[in-house]
Amino acid sequence: MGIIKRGNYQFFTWIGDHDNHVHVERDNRLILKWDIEKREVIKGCLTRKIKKILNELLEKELL
Amino acid sequence: MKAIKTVKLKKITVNMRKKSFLVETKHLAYEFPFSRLEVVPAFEDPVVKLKPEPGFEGFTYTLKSGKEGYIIWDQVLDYNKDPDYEHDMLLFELTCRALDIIKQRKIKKREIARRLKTSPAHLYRLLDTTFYGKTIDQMIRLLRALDYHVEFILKDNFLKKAA
Repeated sequence: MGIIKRGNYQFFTWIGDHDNHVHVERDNRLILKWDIEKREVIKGCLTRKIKKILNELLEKELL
Repeated sequence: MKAIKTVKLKKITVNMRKKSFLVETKHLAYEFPFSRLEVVPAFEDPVVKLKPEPGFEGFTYTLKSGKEGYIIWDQVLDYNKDPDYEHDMLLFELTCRALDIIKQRKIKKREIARRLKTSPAHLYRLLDTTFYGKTIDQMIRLLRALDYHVEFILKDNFLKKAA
């Protein structure tokens, strides 16, 4: 759990009763809620750039 | 890029005696205990600064020692088992399950639409994890069309709390 900054985006991870989630914000606006375990979008829009960053973070086991 | 509509946090208070935060919005007021935090405040190291963050729908807090932590509104809803949040999460989980079944069994979406007696456009809406306009009833019908049946387990939180 923690704040990760990558490519003008900020990633906020949190662990809940359901699954581990990550919230992505840019310019003080929440743009994506993503389920880490299911790898599905909960709310918002998953762009190619965010997808690439999320995959990189998963590879490095930062999420 | 379209932003997600966020909830405005009206008031955040720290209750050191109860060891929890009280987070208030226009309609809701929920507590969030320190035990769920990574950076835990203490009597020797209390919270000195609270800052609402519109960006991630939550707030950051700073301790006397300089350590920083954050709480997301969804975390508070998840801990307090907010009915609307639980409803959305149930829809999300049912959608993910339906998508997994379709992927595993390699069933054509047109075939499912035919079984459901609905249009493919409607089926795509049902299979969209970000669409919450659907009902649990519609998801049960979809899973039934995929030869699955849904069972609900009711858990008694009262007994859990008493123990």
